[in-house]
Amino acid sequence: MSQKIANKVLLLGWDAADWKIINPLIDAGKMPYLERLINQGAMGDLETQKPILSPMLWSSIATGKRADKHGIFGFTEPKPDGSGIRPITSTSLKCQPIWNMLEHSGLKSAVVGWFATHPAHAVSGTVVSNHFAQPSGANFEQWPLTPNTISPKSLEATLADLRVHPDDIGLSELIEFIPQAAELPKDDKKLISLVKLLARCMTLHGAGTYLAQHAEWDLLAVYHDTLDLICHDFIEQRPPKMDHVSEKEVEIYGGVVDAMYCFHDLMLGRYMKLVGPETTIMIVSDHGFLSDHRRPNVSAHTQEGSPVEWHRDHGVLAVRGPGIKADSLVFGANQLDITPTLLQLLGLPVGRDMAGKPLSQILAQPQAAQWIDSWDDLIKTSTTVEDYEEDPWAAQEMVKQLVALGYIDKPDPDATKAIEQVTQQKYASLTEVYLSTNRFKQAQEYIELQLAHNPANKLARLRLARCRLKLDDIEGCKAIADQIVAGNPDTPMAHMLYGQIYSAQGLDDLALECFLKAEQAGYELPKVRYRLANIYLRRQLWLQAEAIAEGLLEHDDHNARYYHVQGMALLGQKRYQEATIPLMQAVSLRYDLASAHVDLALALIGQQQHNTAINSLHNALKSRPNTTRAHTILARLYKDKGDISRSSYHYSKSQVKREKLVSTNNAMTPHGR
Amino acid sequence: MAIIIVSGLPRSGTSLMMQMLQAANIPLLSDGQRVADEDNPVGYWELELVKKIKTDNSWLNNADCHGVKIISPLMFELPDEHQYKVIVMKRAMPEVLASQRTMMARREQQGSSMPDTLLTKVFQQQELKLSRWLTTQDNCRFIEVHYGQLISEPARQVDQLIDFLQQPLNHTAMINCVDPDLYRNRQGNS
Repeated sequence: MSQKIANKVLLLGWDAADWKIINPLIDAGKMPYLERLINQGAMGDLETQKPILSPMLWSSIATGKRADKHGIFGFTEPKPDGSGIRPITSTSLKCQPIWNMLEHSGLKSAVVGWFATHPAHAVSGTVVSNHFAQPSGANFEQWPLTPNTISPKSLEATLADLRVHPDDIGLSELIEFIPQAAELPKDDKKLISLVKLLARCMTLHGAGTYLAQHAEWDLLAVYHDTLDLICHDFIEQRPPKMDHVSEKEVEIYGGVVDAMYCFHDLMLGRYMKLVGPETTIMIVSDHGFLSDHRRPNVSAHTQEGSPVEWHRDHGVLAVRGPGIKADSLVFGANQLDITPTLLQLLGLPVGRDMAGKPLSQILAQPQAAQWIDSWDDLIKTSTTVEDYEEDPWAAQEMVKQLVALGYIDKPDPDATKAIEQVTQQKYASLTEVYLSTNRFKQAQEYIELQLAHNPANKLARLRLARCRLKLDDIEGCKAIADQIVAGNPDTPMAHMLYGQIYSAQGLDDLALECFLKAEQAGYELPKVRYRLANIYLRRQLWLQAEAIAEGLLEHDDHNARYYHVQGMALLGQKRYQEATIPLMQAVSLRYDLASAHVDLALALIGQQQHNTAINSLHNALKSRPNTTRAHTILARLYKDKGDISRSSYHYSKSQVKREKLVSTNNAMTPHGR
Repeated sequence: MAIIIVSGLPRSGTSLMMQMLQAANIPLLSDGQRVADEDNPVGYWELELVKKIKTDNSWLNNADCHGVKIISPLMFELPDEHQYKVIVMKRAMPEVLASQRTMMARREQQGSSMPDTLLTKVFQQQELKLSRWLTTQDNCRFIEVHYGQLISEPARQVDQLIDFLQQPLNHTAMINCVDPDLYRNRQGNS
């Protein structure tokens, strides 16, 4: 066991918490507890994953693994008997969550409200499942405790009493969020929504604070989805006024989001008093929520709108406690890093099979983490039949087989449809996971399954085109592009598609022509301009690229790729010092952006900072071990330092990749439209 | 008094066992809707109502001392108020899957797209779930019969069955149902 840095850790999961909303509230003195926490510790952006679906993301936060490993793809899954769908279950998690790792190591864990913790008895430690706060009945007396929501059962009576039913929420609570609440009709939909969310939030807080005081724990993890749900219902009414929202709505509901953030600050304050300064407190969110000029022109509502479009790529990370660097900033943190970081803080080894890394930069005195191959191997030594016992996806396959054999009736058509939808959702989620991690072959397999179900799925076809492009199947990509544009090559989308194909073939003149036409038509301007900027960079038209980057950053100042373009444009002009700033921004927002690390190294070399450049190049190789440019530059830098052994190593690595590239390029022939 | 249930995975030998029970003069609950075919030349011995057991199990009220085939995923729907003697058929999983594949091909049906390695685990899990469930049911007694052993040493297996059912049954007639030629579809050869 490595050295334990934290005595105990309180992990607060605030779904969708966003610095863009928090920072002005802190500046106004409205979130004093969070302000104190970040002054005492470290804070930064926490990069999300695609698709931005909360159950998937919170399962990654709790396991350090992506969805293709942990098996949670959305909110629902098929019922094993094929009779319909159900909310995701704890038994569907395909790898060990951190609470199981702790319990296996003799430490104590308690978890409240986290996704995929129901039924509670299937999870190690003290568990209040994510079904606990779901109210039923007209009032508290008519609200039976949902079975299997609490483990151990000895806590059931106490925690059941701490629940807050929507019926218990009175006007005095509501006017803190909606000052005119008394004047609203009782059936006001937004008021009803607020009442329910407030009751849910207070129920989870009640359970969390009770366990904080009375349970034995080394890690207490409490999840709240209130900020996310409040934003989905009220962010459109938050100032500045959106075109489709009336002045009256802004006046009535405009303060709800901010008030709920302040309410979370009060809850944090309560925890700070309960656990004391000797306990490490970490606050994380799975994604942010658009609250500025980037708010889309579609409803944010979870039922009627396009909720995921409102999710921003960066959530929050704030941590304070013994051994944590005070008043510091964290760069390049990803939600996959949370479990590895917690393990290091609690003196436990990190799994090499985890996708994240311990955030050693938050430590006042950095120390090396201990590693093991896999917690999954340690806790479950072999894949047994039992592993599949409650796998709803697997059970669904059995149902299909038995229906085909004529041994059971076809499920109800509505159930079949629901299962098909949830299965397609799984395929779409897996596609995005594979696309976002450059695993294009696997992505292609799942896209083809989606197209087999619905050949008209345009998004799937666009993604298939992208995969083929990335897999150097230019002809295959062109065939799909031809299908998508359906004989109408003069549409903006066609220009964008063919522009990308030409660009991949190195036919920059043709690509430029296409992108300019798409830009002229106003097609998805940031995307088109980003492509244009890359063509300008390739043609060494640095000033044009710089101008586009500035425009892109005005649109979105949290996009790593836009900073990267700006950095490259400045680098091309040998403005090394200026280039360093956007390139550092790029890697702090997207730590896995290997090419940005390499360009940052070039900017540092331009300033004679060779040692720092070497670090940056190694960071690039951590993300993508076969980055040829990184190996080439490292070979040169080590040679200059007289380290021939390292220089030779990186030289040989650069040649391996180069040979592959040469053979691939020889096999490719350019194709015109 | 108990209802005699023949259970197991599809293509694990449940129809053969039903045929043996009939030969032993045990009345069967079968409606003959699913007629004999290449996959089961002697018949399926099935009751369509079994498929509806989740919503209607009233037909079990008159089923005492009768034999009925219920495949394993439907067993968990059995009501508590009856006594059951369950004969669970077991067969090597590659043979089960190969036989299922052949049957689906004949029926021009498409089943699971899972590879056999994973589907094997799913079905093994189903068998395990049934075994665990049966051991916890006070109203169920059960015996496991391995299809391969039934074919290779029918006399011994029938002895054990008669002992389990605790009825004077026609030993010879039961053995005569076992036709090694029916041991087909092994490893995909139909």
